[in-house]
Amino acid sequence: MRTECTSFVPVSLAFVPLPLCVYTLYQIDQGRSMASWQPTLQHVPLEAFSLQEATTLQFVYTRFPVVDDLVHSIRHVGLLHPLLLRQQGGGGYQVLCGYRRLLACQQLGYSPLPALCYPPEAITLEKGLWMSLQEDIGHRSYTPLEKGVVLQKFHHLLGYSLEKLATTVAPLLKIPPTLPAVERYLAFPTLDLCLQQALHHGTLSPEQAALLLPLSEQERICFWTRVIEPCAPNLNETREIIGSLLDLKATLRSSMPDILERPELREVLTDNRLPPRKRCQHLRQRLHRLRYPLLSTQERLFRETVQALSLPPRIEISSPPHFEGNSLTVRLFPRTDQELQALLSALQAPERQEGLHTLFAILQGETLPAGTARE
Amino acid sequence: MYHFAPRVIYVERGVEQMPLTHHICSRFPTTPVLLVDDYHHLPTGAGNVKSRFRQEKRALALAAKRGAWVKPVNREKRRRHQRDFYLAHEHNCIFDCQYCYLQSYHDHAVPVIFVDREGLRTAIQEVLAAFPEDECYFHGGELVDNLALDHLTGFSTFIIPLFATLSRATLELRTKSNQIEHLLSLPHHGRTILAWTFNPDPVIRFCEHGTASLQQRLAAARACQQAGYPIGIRLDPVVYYPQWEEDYQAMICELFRSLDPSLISSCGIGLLRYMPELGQIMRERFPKSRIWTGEFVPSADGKYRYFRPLRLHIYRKLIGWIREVSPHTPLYLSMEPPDIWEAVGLRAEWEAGK
Repeated sequence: MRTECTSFVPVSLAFVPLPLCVYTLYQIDQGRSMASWQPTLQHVPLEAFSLQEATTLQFVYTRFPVVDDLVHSIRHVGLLHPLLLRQQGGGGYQVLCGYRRLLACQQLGYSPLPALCYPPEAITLEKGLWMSLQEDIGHRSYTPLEKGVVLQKFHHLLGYSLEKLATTVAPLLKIPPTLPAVERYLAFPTLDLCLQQALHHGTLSPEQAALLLPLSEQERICFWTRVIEPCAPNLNETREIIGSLLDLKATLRSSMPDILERPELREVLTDNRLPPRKRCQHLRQRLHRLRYPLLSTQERLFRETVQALSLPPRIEISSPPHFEGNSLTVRLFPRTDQELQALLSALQAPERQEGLHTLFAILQGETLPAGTARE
Repeated sequence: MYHFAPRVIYVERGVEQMPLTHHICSRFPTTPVLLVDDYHHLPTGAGNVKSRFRQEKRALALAAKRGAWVKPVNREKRRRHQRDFYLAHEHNCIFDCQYCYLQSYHDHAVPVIFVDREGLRTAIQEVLAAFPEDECYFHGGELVDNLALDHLTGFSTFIIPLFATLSRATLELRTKSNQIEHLLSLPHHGRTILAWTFNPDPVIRFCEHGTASLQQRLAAARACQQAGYPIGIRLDPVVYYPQWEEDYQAMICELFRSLDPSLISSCGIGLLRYMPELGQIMRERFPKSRIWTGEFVPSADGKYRYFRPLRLHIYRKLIGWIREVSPHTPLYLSMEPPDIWEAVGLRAEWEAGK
């Protein structure tokens, strides 16, 4: 029995057993006869697939496929489910479902392959893309890169607008249905290959990748190889480091690679004795000194003045963050009332008053030398 | 100074027949006029930030006011028994200052003129009636440069005579323009303060695109002072750069030498600051500018400011130079908490305003 539909409605095929999945296709038919839609079971030799040709993989979203598990499984129990293919007008086949199974069989030399084959007129481009997505997404989660590939195919091959992508495709991919999110994911497949691989394998998060998008290709690769790989910064650190580098690029009229080549930064980045976290911390400190030279001198003066006070270990003095405040924080950690008296006396000792005065003078901007703006 | 000629005029449905709409459109007979439903949603915004602003800055929108014409200023009062309000009679600006907060304030950057202006007169009268004991200070230049489009809108010829008839009300019109000839003969009764934002010429050249030069602003302020207007000096935003000391000191000397200090109503000082969203826009629109590469840190209200010791250092210098040439000009700081006023020796001014 055939169901008439007035418009194309993607029907979720996730977790649907294959024969039922094939049956479901009738429900999204728009008026052709049932017979013309019947897939036929064929045994297709491996040589019939031209995997180098883009059209063969037009409906495939997988990037950097790993098939070791499938090779193992097929070797032991054979191919349990037939592939789903679309015959091409001029001969050959397009893979609708089962790309990884095909690759595994290729590795094993397993041929011919059982496949349900649709005639070309049965599967439009739009229907094929939806079928492939619905079938695939039910079985595994897509990487951020693959989500980007899905969006790109719907956008470029079908002309879906960003708004339509946000409302129809993004929810399936668990992408926030907003234009900025869609634009971000759309850009992932345009990243350089090493970044695509990192994104695919999870060594680069989608949030980090998004921070790299506004950079030039040269800057992105430089940042990946010189900063992310050796320093493993988290998201906030990545944001801070990129921000500092971009600001320094404008201030120093220099390129990002050249800035990272500065001796004080190169020293940190090439020091293989440092573990990544330590390297990241040192890099941030040195970038901070370059980006905020005046603030850094005041911070250093503050630290040195506190050290010179030689306070007992149970007294701590700190400034407000970035000196944004007019008061010092003094913390005492007494264990007895006598110890409290001793700590207070230590603070009030005459030899420490000049140092304490300097700390307040730093907060009040009285220690900045005249004419301190940098070129 | 930049002479504005819009490439398109958006007219909101319902105001097509307003006299001001006719007047403005007739000044640009060859400019296409597009009818729109709502000035908030104009058919602009395509492309990246740079091209969006370029497009929007060259358009003009004429609309009906739907919100309040007059709104209270949400910051500390500066003077006892004074209430501060701002006028929302126009939005956005034809000038293009790199640091302008309007870039991240509205839905778009198209200059908008509300043409049903009679509502403003009523709103001002309602405010005065609501606060019968207080002096009310109306800031005209919070959302727009007050004289940039005045030759088209005639706003000052409407508002200055209105304030001349009001007691307990003072209007401040703030500008970076020098188009003042039409103001000189208006009746103002000292109720309108004309305030100029001043910056040294290097800052004007690199950051305040389309505005009048320092000399042009100064000449305009002098002419208005001679016409009896109280003049406000606004050093806001002050930009910190390598030659800032020489440039600002020379400018301050020139300002107070050219103008009669006894007729300067007040001098406001504010340092460059910005919300994070504006920082992003500035970086995208003006990637080669160094205005945003200063040593800014996030402060308590979320804005980025020069770090506090540096702010204090700059304020002290500026105040010292002003006090040298004009010891009695009232000074105030823009958008700074009381501890900063106190630290730079303006505690008495802060106390007076509590």
